[in-house]
Amino acid sequence: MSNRLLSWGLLAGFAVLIGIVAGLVVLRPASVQIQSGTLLQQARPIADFSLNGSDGKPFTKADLAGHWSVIYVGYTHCPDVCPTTLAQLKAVEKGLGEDAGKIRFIFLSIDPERDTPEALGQYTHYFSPDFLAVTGPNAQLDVLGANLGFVYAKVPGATPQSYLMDHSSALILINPRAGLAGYLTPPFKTDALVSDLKQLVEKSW
Amino acid sequence: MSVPLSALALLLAGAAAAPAFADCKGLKVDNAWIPEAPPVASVLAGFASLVNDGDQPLHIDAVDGADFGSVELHQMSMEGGMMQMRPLQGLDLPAHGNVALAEGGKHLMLMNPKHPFKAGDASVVLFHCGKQATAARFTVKAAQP
Ligand SMILES: [Cu+2]
Repeated sequence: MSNRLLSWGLLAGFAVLIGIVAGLVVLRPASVQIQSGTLLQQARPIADFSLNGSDGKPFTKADLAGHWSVIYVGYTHCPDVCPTTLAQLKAVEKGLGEDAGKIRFIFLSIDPERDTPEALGQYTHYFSPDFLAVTGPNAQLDVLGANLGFVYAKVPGATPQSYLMDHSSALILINPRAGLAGYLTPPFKTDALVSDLKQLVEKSW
Repeated sequence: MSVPLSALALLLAGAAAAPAFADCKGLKVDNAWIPEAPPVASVLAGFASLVNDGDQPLHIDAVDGADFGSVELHQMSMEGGMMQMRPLQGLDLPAHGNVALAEGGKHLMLMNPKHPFKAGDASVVLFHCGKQATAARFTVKAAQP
């Protein structure tokens, strides 16, 4: 009787162990290699934040859960690299085909003074109606920046209205559990971005 | 009789388009274009290749255009993972030299367009060098990702 109990216990123990090992293999981000940037060894949790979506609704951490997200930090008074990157993300979205539905592309403006959610939405949706446009008060942007590892700074321009914004250029990867998974860094190549993102949505999590 | 017809035609054409200024001596503006941007964009970029064909250096000290509230010259740079733009105090073109206004480098900031621009549209921009100025026609084209 006690022998049988022992063997059942051993069996259960084995099952749990196998489950843990399988889980590690499946979940381990290092099993995915990307060419366009780096994945963190372990996804990092993100603190709660509250921003504004262009649809008039709040945009919070909950909006990052359940799917992969690619966040691009920029502003609309940036006529060179920002529209080029958004146009490239549009090409990436197209290249992803069906997998595009598993990824949210988010344009995050760090210039809330000039980028109202509404105007930001119109600007962003010119590139793709599926892209999300998000901004918010500086205090909230700073919280998110500290969590996601992006920085920005206001720099005086030729006139008070034509001030400039320095900002991080990397694309930020968020996994479906709303954790910081890694970064994609410029110069961006559309094909490489497509194959990296396909790997992420298909092979892990 | 003493004035050839072609010269007369040139004179008339010149009078019709009469600019109130002389061209910047030696300045040529090639491949001038504006990437198409969302209609709500309040800034457009201007790219071109500026060539100084003359024997004297040129200094472009201002740029403007009737279609824009103002125009600035900017330098873009990517340093330590940061995207930066800085205003430039004019542009220097050495004799027989050139300067590229190109993506990822220098560009015109065409601010507060007076109307939206679509691919195929054009806009005239003036490059000032002291009391002279050269007009250049910028064509709007679809941006290439
Ligand atoms: Cu600029």
